Formats: sequence, structure tokens, C-alpha cells
Amino acid sequence: MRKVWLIRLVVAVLATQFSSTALYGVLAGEEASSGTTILDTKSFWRFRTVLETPEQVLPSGEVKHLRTVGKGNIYEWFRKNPAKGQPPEDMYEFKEVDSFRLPEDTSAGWMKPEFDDSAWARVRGPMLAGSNSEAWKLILMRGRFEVTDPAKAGDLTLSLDFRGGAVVYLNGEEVVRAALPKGDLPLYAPAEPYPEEVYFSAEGFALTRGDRSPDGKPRIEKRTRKIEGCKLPAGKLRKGVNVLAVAVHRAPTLARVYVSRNKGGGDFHSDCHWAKIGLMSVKLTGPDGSAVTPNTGPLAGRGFKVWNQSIMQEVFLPDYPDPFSPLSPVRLTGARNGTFAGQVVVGDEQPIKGLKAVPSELKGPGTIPASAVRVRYGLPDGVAGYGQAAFFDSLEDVAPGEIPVYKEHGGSVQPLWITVDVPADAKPGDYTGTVTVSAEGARPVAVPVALKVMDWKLPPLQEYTSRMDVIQSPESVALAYDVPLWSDEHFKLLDKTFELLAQLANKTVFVTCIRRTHFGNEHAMVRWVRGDDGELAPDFSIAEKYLDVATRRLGRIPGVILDCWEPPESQGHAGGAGTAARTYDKPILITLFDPATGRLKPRQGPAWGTPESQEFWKKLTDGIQPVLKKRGLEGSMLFGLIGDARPTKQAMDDISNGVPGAKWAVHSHYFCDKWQGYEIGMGIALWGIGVTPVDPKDGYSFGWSNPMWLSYYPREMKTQSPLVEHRVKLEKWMGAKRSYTPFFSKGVGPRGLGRIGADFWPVLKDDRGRIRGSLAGRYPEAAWGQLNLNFCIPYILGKGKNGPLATVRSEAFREALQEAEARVYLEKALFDDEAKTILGEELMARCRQALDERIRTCLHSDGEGEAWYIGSGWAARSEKLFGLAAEVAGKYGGKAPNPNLKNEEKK
Amino acid sequence: MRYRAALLSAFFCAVFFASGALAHALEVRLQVAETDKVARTPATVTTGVPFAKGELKDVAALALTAGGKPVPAQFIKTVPWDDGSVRWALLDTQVDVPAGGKTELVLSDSGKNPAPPAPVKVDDGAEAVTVSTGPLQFVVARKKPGLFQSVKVDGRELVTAAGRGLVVLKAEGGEVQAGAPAEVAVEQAGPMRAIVRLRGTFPGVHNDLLGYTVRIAAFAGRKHLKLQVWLENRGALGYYRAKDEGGTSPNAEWFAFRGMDVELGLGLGDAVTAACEGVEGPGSLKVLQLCKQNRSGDKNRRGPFYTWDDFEYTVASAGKELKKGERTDGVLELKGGAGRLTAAVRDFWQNYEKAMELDGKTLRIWLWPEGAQWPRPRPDLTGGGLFDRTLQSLPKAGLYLLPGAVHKGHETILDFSGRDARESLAELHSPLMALSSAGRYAATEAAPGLFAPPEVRTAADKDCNAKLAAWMRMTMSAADPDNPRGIWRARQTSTESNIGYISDSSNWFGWMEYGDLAVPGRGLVSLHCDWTWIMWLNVMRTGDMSFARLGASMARHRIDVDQLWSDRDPPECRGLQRSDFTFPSFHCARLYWVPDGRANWIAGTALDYMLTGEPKALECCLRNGDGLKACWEWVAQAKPWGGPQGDMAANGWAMNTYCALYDLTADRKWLDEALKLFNANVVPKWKALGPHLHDGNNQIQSQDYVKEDVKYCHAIVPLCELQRRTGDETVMKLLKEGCEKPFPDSFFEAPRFLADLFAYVGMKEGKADYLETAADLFAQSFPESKCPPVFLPNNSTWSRDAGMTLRVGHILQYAWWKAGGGK
Repeated sequence: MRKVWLIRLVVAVLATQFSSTALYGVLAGEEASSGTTILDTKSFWRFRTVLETPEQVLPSGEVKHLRTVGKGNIYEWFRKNPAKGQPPEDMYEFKEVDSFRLPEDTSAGWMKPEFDDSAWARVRGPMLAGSNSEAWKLILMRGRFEVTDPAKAGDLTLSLDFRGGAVVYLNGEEVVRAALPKGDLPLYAPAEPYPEEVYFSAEGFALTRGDRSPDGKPRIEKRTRKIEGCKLPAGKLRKGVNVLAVAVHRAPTLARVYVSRNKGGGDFHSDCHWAKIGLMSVKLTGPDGSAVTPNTGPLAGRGFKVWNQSIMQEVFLPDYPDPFSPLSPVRLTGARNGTFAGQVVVGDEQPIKGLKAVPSELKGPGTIPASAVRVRYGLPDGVAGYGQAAFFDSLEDVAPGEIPVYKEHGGSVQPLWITVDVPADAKPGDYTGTVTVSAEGARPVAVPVALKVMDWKLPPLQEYTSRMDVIQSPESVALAYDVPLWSDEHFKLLDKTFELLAQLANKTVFVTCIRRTHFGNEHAMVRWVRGDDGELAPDFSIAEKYLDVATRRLGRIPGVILDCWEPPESQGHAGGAGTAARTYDKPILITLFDPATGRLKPRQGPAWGTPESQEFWKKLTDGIQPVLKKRGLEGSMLFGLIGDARPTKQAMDDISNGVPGAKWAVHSHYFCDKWQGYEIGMGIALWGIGVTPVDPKDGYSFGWSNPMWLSYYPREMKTQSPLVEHRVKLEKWMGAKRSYTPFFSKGVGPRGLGRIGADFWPVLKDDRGRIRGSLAGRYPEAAWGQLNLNFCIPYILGKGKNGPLATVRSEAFREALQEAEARVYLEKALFDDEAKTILGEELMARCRQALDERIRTCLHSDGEGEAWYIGSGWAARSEKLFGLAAEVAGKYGGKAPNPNLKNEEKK
Repeated sequence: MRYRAALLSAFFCAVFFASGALAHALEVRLQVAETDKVARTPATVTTGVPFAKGELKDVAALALTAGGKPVPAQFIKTVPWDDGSVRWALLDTQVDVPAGGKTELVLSDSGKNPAPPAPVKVDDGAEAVTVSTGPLQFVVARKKPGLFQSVKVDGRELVTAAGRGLVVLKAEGGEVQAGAPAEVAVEQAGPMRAIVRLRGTFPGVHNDLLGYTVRIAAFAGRKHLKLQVWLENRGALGYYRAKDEGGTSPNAEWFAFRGMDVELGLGLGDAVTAACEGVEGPGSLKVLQLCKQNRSGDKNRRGPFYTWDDFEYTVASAGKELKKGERTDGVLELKGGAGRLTAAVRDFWQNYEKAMELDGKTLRIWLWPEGAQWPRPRPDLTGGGLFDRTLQSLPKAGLYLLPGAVHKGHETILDFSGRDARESLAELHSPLMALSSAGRYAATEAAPGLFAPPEVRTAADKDCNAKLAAWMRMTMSAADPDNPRGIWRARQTSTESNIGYISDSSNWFGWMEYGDLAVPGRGLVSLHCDWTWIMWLNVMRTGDMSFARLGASMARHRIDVDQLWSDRDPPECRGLQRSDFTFPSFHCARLYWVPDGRANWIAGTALDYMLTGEPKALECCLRNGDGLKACWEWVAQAKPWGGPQGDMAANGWAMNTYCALYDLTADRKWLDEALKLFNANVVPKWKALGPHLHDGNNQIQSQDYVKEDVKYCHAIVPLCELQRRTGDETVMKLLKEGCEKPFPDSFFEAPRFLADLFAYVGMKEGKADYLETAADLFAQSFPESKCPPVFLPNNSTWSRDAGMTLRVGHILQYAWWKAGGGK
């Protein structure tokens, strides 16, 4: 019994921890009740949410965007009045605040049946039910159901639990509203304010959200408002598809609550915040036998179906088509020389055989050949997060021979990823074409494709400003495809890998000079051969081939990290980076190659701090420099890899011996620009980098201007992180800033993301042939604890049957990189001393507004913001971004902007 | 390859047990080397001499010659073999050794041991013990306080009963004289050396938990005495056991005091002058050695800190400063009409603050002088560590804390001979030993642990031979005082600048605590992994007295500070070695590093006893053995979560300790205890996880490196040593299986440990290919350097890594020695 209770508790706790379960959850439908459920919370709805600066309701009843702040020594007052939860009026005041709303372009006709909601998020409810954010302003949701005979539909009854106010439309006409003003209802009208009793306890203290006391519980429950048993007017039903639209409006917050305090909690506590908006549940029911076709799960008898899906949303195995949604065009917007994607999903009740998608050429101001349109097929290999099913991640060029019926929802499902490589010389304008999707026994479906080409050209991939550090694992590739390490087949696979990494603006390559690093290499890429005289000489033959294959795709890689150093222990957390407790060197573990036998032998190199060590490393550095020079990489050499555990000066001196101006590379939680007197040439860090994303009113971080190669390590990301996060992470960190540590001058931030695994797939097998894990952390002493690649993104590429593949995640990064280029271009133009003359203030203002808006959307995209972001009009923002880049480029007439950040730095 | 293997097999058949190093007629050559460049005329020599099993039945037959002439000597059987024969005998003699020169002695069983011209005589009376060396006589009263009733030299009473003996300056003010001894015992009664031991307490101080032990040694025909003085806190070190987590540890019985000295009444005459560091003071002179807080204002260092450059001594007379400098040996030379006295304290500047003071007719030897403080002020006492909190509440400026369970001892010399003070100092600082050859030490197998003469190489593995040579160079460099990468330099290196994260790391001891090895970031490691054993082992292997200097100081640290002496600590802890991170640490609501038998080494201390005869070393070993047994009994009963029962290194080290105790006592109960651990803890793990006692696939759990592979590796030598002593077939089976199954690819240093495993099994089973494998493993794992450094500044793992390197490899070398017929 106790065990059951415990399991329930754990499940409940986990459920609150993983709110994305609600977004992509495997749950289908709710408990059965009397009658037929037509639509409910767990149905797929199309959602758009809007955020806006919070409003407060003043004692006068006025509702404004304000901030309530304490006056005088309010803390002292509270200290002297411990029995009071609220101060007198003269102890606080209201201050005006700037307000903004995102997105701003919601159509007034959003509730109409004909409204195209294909760009909105297609997710299940509830929405913002557990939110404590006061930023959300509006929830709009649209659900569809089919009426076969309006006369026999019977009474359809609607129930709704929500916070704030709600209005419900059936086929575009209002049927009920609650807690909202009467009369004409503006889209952004605030809901009726809540009474004081839901904010405060009987004693007058602010209530926390989790208050379950006899006094607090009923007060908290009153925060949820209800529409119960609302009968939909039968006359408003129509034969065919009907649209039920719900808008939930935010109620303003009682101003005084911000200067109150909770009992025993001191200041107004974060637990006292609660969203005055939320959709907890919705249910539309009809009588049994009603002539209504419900939309609560896969619908039998509808056959082969194609539906739209945002590329910001993974497709999960339990996904199923909404049988009542029309197929809209796949809309793409992009710049020349870029690659842009759209997505449709096909599904059926039975296995799909012979799936084929044939793109046409795209016609517009010119013609984009069909060969530039690529359709790839998702593989269901995405790692499931807690409470989630697997998602379609890798993108394979060839359709599966048969798409099975997935047990998760009783049908087959297959996403089609459509990308267009926009030619560098494509004429700007609107292009259209189709992708014809067919399968055995199914009528072909022509999916319209609409591409808008903006008049701005992206630079070649190798010239991208953003610097991505995506770590390639040659050993993983060899193991994954069971090919001999460093064989021709292996290098062919590596070539494909680097082709994909080039698309991610990857700027690093790692050459292992020691064995047993945290990359899990049994042997080093650089080997040593013992001569007849007993002396060791380095053999760079493998390293040379590897660099060849890498540079063929990546060009002049700015960071060639010679992996020469590892700590002897690197477990645990980040604490202590840079302290002596974590300053130590592992013995130099090298690979000895016996040319006579071809055998590789593990050996320990010279001891640190000995003449032999200095000689050893000098041989290596003397030998590798011509190798790099031959490939144009003479300025790219970095020694590494420093982590949270760091090398002694002795080790660094030994390794860098004979290399003037030697630079090192760091992957650490903590920022570090110098270590033991050596300059850090590439620093990938999470903390202490001098910036953190905040509202753009504080300025931008201008990572592209950073003289140091500093990149953000997105440790919080996982392979199952939402695609939205992949899409916004780069811009969020490159764009937004707050200087909170004095390491850098203002306006200098990261220029990319780093410490992301390219292909650390689970390939390592145990003695019994079972897959044990990835090579990252293969060796216990070199697992790197919290910096282990498995803790973040071990692989951004997919492990296809015949070679590495792009994934929906890498594609999200790729498009983010393209947008970052446009962003950087605009930032540079805005800070050109001649900007006012060349661009004019109006264009500058539009650029700044667009860039600000983008950062704000990034800032709100986490967690419950994911669905918001998907439906927030990101495609329109991309269009705006590229459009502005085109406008600016037109003004510059081929010249490059010449930014000057001096004035910005003074801020 | 096959040919070589066959050749090696032939070696085994022919010469395996024919080490042949032990002749039937006993003749042991011993060498006494003087390294302080001070002529010893003569020197007192005290040394343990080992004998193979059955080689010597009785020390009564032993005799010594120098240059063919008999030399009087004293022999005591200190350690027996289990057949009753002599395993170690303690030799006491006196020989002239020229400055920087050597004197060879020959020990035989001729039975012709001459009596010394002036033997030490002891009168163990009911009221007093009187010891006479001929020219010097001292009297210790059994029932009176004060150290000496008198010390007479050539009939003149140069030390009188006026001195109060041991005096403690209380924290709250006032002075307390040590009470009359509760016990006065004659430990040795001549003819070459006598030792009288006094034990007592300071009545009314620290709840009567403050005790003392004094040992007074006198030498035949000599006019000097050596005193060892221990201040003993018999209160608990203290472990956090209370549910209430506030405040300090409820049972940390640390003693706070202002100072402590040994006060002697002088009978040197009316007009006594004192000299020190070339200055003189009539009637009064005080030399005070301090380490001052650094005032450099180095912004890179947090809070108060101390460096090598912060020593300061002053010599003052009647309040007037006569001389100032950095470091002094503190030798005080007193001259009066009736006689002379040279007094000195060993490690005067190296071992905390010290002072020597002539105050009229009183000599005050300040072992804890007023005006200093321990622990040092720390920059961060708010880390939440248990002892942080204890220290927060206890230390006050100008007070010393003697932690509970700690015995802190000092050694002094009182030399009335009037000889050159340098000779007195050398007698104190660098006592001479008579050392045998490495071959003999190794062949007797009397010491804990197998080893071979350093020059032994493999038959044909050039790589391994080169590495063995480098290994030996590394060994020699460890104790070389001039080596900037050696232990001497390590002891001079302050750690505080690098400590930031681990809150209980500090310079509590720093360079001042003898035997401590400072590791950046980890604080003081308390001789982790038995460095003491490494030092004493290499005294035998190399004859280099630098190892002896370090070994002795490390042993002192192990005996005094690391051994838990209090019976007021929990029974499962009280006899153990203090855990290897100096003090327990409180973190995340858990108490770490409570001594639980996991970090317990005694072989080095046992060897210290064998080679020096230091009685407190034996006492320490036996207490530790009993404590360890009690601890493991508690573990077996309580099965604490995450306890040492599942830790193979802990089991291994405990077995090693038990083996050393067997070596020390010949009592088989210690081997039984070791086998008990083997059967209770090792065998189940073996059955569950195979012969390497860990699962190679599960070395990483979450963010932690489980290190079971490392632990197995550390258990290899103990398991071999256990098998050697017991011949246990199950242990052998485990070792053999360990060779047969490939070692999981989990611990990068494993080959150097496996080298010993293969060597042992190869040697015992006559498998020549195993010996070759062992050589290859050693070659694989030892660095490609002629002399790897022992100490690397700012590398927080140097002590552990270098210790590991110097501790393993000996079985490999021994096996090849045996395979090569002892060559």
C-alpha cells in the first residue's frame, strides 16, 4: 500500500516537472463520461498564445501596465508588524512601465471557420494550467469536429475550466463568455479582476500557489473559473467541419499583492505568483448516437492523410492526423544561398507501402529546379524524454519500404521534411510548386509549396560569422558502421559527417594526441614509433588524412584542437574549477605503433616536468605545424582540452614548449580567458561569460565582435530538447546580453555554441554484445562528470543505415545559423557610424524593433513558451528579418557595413 | 619467446628458493655513515638488524667488531619469527665515525660481546629510579612532581630539583605543573643504553584528560641525555554523532592552552651565560622561533597565510633584542662556573614555534612558547565543516589547541659534555644507523613486504629494465634534499594559495608538521598510502640516510598525530589511523571521512620499530591493530551503508596492516583476521563480479567514478602478501584467476599494479610467461623518463601518484631476483 502511494507521489512530482508531457504527451483522451466526447483537453487543438506586459488593477479599479514598488523602509515596517501581510497605502507606489505584446498581428477573424490556422501550434491541452508567469495575455485555441447531420446532432454541451475570462465561438459566432466585459469584446480585453480573497489568507498574508490549508485551499480553488453545461445552439452547427474556438483572456493582477508578503516568508515570494490566465480543461460532449464525429483520437476509415506540421515541432509516434483540418500550403521564406524547410506528415490506419514524394520545380520570378527541392523522411530514432514517445529525428533521403502501424496510436505516421536549397542567384519573389505524395493504394496528394525568396544572400557556409563547436568522434563512426578505424570506408563516412557539420558552421576539429581521453578514444590519432635508437618519433599519417577529410568540407577550420591533456579524475560537479583541488595532470598516455607488426601498443609517455617530456612535446608540435600549414591551418592550432579540471603550469609548459604564443582551448562550466599564463584561444563556457540573455532594452551582446572565441555551452540542452530550443539558442546567446561579471567590456558576448557532440551515438558494447552507451565517458577516469557529452547533446547527427544523417535538430540549428547571419548583418549595419545617412532613421528603427522582437521571442520560448513560440508567427519574423537584410543590403549597394561599437560599449 | 620462457623456467627449477644470501655462519656487514659532516667521537648508534627465519635463535650470541676489534654492544630481541627465532634485533653501540665518513661493523654470532668500560646501570628503587652512565647520573622520583630530582655530571649536580619539569600555561591564565608520574618504568637497562619512561597527568587540567609521557635515554660512558616529551590529549578527537546539528561537535575534547615548557633547575654555577646564534646573554637569554603571518598583501591569496619566507627568530636578553633572522636550530649553550650544558630541540624551526630560555637559574625549553597560535587563523571558517565549526568556537588568538586523541611529542638533548655544539646537534638531529646490504635485508624477508636489491633487472626485457632503472632514479630523487622535485621541497611548499574550494583544507599544519606532505587543494594528506613504508624500505634498499630522516619524521607524525589515542572516541574508531584528509568534513548533511578503517596503514610504522626500536612505534602498531580489529568487527555487525566492507582497497590495506602486525608479533591471530576479511568481504565480491572484484561496465555511476577497479589494484599487493604468509589456496586461486581473465579496460594505471600480480603468480606457479607479462606491464605503465619527478608544485595529486609509483613494482623486482638466482 505504501509502495502504491509512493509511486503515485513520484508520478505526480514527475508530472509537474515535465510540463512538456502536456504538449506532446502520449495521453489520448480523458476518462469516459456519459454521452460522447467530441472534443476535450487532450484533443489536438491549434493554439496561439500571446504574451504582454502584465497589467495591474489599481484600487480605483483602473487597469494599467504598472509596477508596484515599496516606498520608504517597507522592510522595517514589516519587521515591526509581523502580524500583517500587507502594508498601508503610503508604503508603496505605482510606476509606469514600458509594455509590449508578442505577437501583435493576430487576425481579428481568428475564430472564423475559414481562418488558416496551419501556422499555429498543433498541440494538446491544457494550456498554461500550472503557470506562475504573469506574462501570458491571451490563449486562442481552435478545435474541429464534424457534423454529419445537424438535425441529429442533439444538444452539444460545453464545459470549460479556466483562469481569467473566456469566450467561446462556434463557427465564428460567440456562444458564451464568462468573466469578461459585456458588449463588444476587443481581442486584448482584460478579464474581470479576481476578488481579494483569492490573493490573501484570512489573516491578510499573500497565499502561495500550493496552499492546501483549510483556509487557503478554497481560496486557491476560486482562482479557477468555470463554464459548465453550456448548450451550444444547434442552429449554429453546420454540416461538415465545424470549428469551436475559445479565447481565454488574462485578468489583471491586484496591484497591492506585489508589496505584500506571505506568512513567514518575508518578501512577496515567487510561490505567490500565479498566472491569471490558463486553460485547465475543455470538454464538448454530445448525446450518444449524435450525428457528430468526434475529434479525440485517430479516426477510423479516413485512410491516407496528409497534414501540416510546423518544423518547430517534432513529430512523435502517437501523433495522428486531424481528419478535419484542410491541407494548407507548405510555406517557406528564405534568403538566397540558404536552405529552408517545411514539413508535412502522412498517416494512415494501415501500414503505408511505396511512399513516394516527388517535388516539382518551383516557379515564380524565375525557376528553381526540382533538384533544389529535397524531401527527406524522418526516422523514429529520436530519444524520448520522460513521459514522451520517441520522435522522428534523423532525416533519410529514401522513404521506408513500409511504414508500420505504430502501436502508440494504432496507425502509421511518417513526417516528410521538405527543404529548398535556394540558389545563390535566385530572383527574389514568390515561388510555388508542389510535392506530390503518393503511396500504394492511395490517391496521390499534391502538397502545395510556397516559397518567398528575399533579396538577400547568405554567405558561403565556411564564412559564417557564428562559430559552432560540434565535436566529431571518428571512433564512434567506425564502431557504428562496423568499419575498420581509419580505413577507406571509414574516411568515406567521415566525409559525409563533415559535409553535415559544414552545414552547422562547425569551426572545430579535434586531433587526439593522447589516448583514453573523454572522447573515448582507445588510441590516439597521433601515434609514436620507436626508432632503432630507442627514440620516439611522431607519426601524423592518420591525423593528416583526418584533417584532409575535415578541411575538404569545413575549409580553413579556425580551431584545430590538439587534444594533449586530460585530468586523471574529472568526475562530479562544476565546483572548484580553477582551484588547486582540481588542478592536476593525468600521465601522458600515448599510442606506440609498431610498423613491423602493425600493432598498436598502449604506453605511458614521459612524466610531466622532465626533459623527456619537453622533448616529446616539441617533437609533436614541431611535426604538426607543417601538417597544419600545408592545409592553411597554421593559425588554427589550439592545445587542449582544458575542462573544469585544469592542467598544471608544468604540463602546459611542457606541451607548449617551443610554440611561441601557444593558445589553449577550454570546455568548462566556468569562463576562463587565461590559464597558468597561457591565452585561451577558444573558450566554451556556461558560467561567468559576462552575458546572460535579458530584454534587449539593455543592449545586445555582439558576440561577433568578441576578439576572443567565446561560445556558450548549452548544458541545459538534451537530445530531446524541443526544436524551438534548438532554433532560438544561438540567437538568444549571440544577441541578448547582460553584463553581470566584469570579465569583458560591455557588448562582447559569445559567438556561437559549443561542446555539442556530432556523433557520439550509443555504440559501445559490453562483453555480451549489448549496447552500453556512447564513447563519451567510456573511460571512468575521463567521464568529465557534469561536462560529459552525454549530459548535453551527445549527437546532433543521426545514425542512418548507410551513413550519418541530418536530424530535425540539426536542421533547426542550421536555420538558426542562417538567421543569425542576417541578424549579425543588421547589427553591424545599425552600428555603422554612417548608418543614419545610409539607412535612414526609419529603417534603422524598424531593424532595431525587429531585432528586439526576435530576442524577446527567444527569451520567452522556454518551457511553457514552446507552444507560444510555435504559434507566435516565427515564420513571419524570419521573413521580416531577411526582408530587412535585403533592404539594408540594397542601401549599402554591395558595400559591407562598418560597425563601430564604441558608443555602445559606453552604455 | 618460447626459448626465453623455457630458459626462465629452468631458472625457476634451479634456483627458485636458492637465494643463497644467508650464510650458515652468521656474518652481517653493517655500515655506519655520517652525512652531517660532523665527526662523531663517538656516536651512539641504534639500529634494528633483521635475521632470516631460523637464522638466529638468541641475541645472546651476537657480537660486533669494527676493524676486526670487538666493540661493546647491546642486543635486544625486538621481533620474533613464529618459530621463536630472532626476526629483528635492536643493536645499540657507540663507534667513532669521521665527518662525512663511514665505519664498517661486522655482526656475528660468535658470542664474544665485550662489556663496555662504563656500562649503564639502573637502580630501580621504590622511591626513585637512578641511572648512571659512568660520568653522568640522573635521578627520577617515583612520587614527586618535577622531571629530575637531579642530574649529576662528574659528581656535580648540574640539574637540580628546583625545576618544575613539565609546565602548562592555561588558557585562562596561570601555570600548572605536571603531577607526579603515575608510572615510572625502566624500558631498557643497559649496558649500552637505558631508557626510563614516566607517565602522568596534569591534575585538574582539561578534566584530567591532559597527560604526558617522558622518555629519558642515557648512554654508556656519555654525558648527555635524550628526552622525548609528549603532551597527550586523552580526550576525544570527536565525531559528529548527535542529532542536533547545531554548534560544535558534542564530543570534540580539544585542549586549549597558552604554552608549555620543560623547566629545569640549573646548577651550573652563579654566573651562567647563555649563547645562541653567536650572541651571548648573561643570566638571561631567550631564542624564539616564529612563523609570522605573511604581510605581503598578495591579492591572489585569501585571508591570512604563511609562506616559506615568513619565518622569524629573535634572540633577546633581558627584553633586549640581540639578533634577528629567519630560521634557527635554537641551540642554547650554557656556561657556568660548575659546568656546561648544550640544549637543543629536534626540528626546532621545522616543527611549530619553539623557544629556549635561560632565566636566571632556570632553563625553560618551550615546546609551545607563548605568543603563537595553532591552528593558524583561517580565511574561511564558515564552510560548515564539522571541524570548521569546532575551530570557530574554540581558537583564540594566542592559544594552542591540542586536538583530542593526539599525542604531540618533541625530542630534546641535554648535553653536559662540553663538546662542540654541532656534535650535540648532530647527535639529536641525525642519529646514526648501522645498515646492512640491500641483498641481506631483502633475503631475510623479515620486513613487511617483498622487495629486491635495486639493481635487479629482468632477463631480457630492455624496456622494462630501462623503466626499472628510471624507477630507482625516481626513488632516489624522492629523498634527495637538493632535488627541487623531491619531498624535501614538497615540505617547504605552502598550500594555502591554492585552496579555495575544499573548506577543510588549510595550512593547519603546513610545512611545520613533521611528516606531513602538503598537497595543494587537498590540504595535508597524513601520509596517504604509507609513505613511511616507502621511506624505510628505501633505507634498506639504498642505505641512503635521507630516507631515514624522512621516514623517522613521517613515522613520528603517524604515531603522534595520525594515530587516535583516545579511548573516548567511539569504539569502532578509537584505535584507527586518522582519515587521510586530515580531518572529517561535514558536507551536504553527511559526515565524510570519519575513520572507518578505509585509510589505515601501519607497515611503515612497524618497519620504523624494526629499524629503530622506537617503543612508541610498537605501541602505536599494537593499538592500531586492536583498533582495526574492533572496527572491522563493528563493520561486520553494523554493515554500514557504503561502508568499507565493499571497498576492496580498504580490505586490502587492512589485510596489509594485519600482515605487518603478524610480521611484528609472530602472532597468527593477525593472519586469521586478514583471512576473515578475505572470506567475508572479498570472496562474495569475487563470486558476484569475477576475480577483478569489480564490474568493468559500471565504473561510472551518475557523475561519480566508482573506482572499484582502482581499489582492486590497490588490493593486489596485500592479497599477494597475505597469500605468501598463509599459503592460502583460495587467495591463490583468486590471484590466478585475476591473471587469466583480461582486466576490464577501466583504470589507466592498472598495468603497473597488474605487473606485481603477474609477477607473484608467475613466481609461485613457476610460470615464466607471467613474469614476462609482468615486465611488459611494468614497461607499459612506467613513464618514458629517466627520472620522473616525485613532487610537482601545484599538482594536487602528486603525493598519491608518486606514492603509488614508488610503492608498487617491488614484487615484480623480487620475482625477477628470485628467477635470476638472487642476482
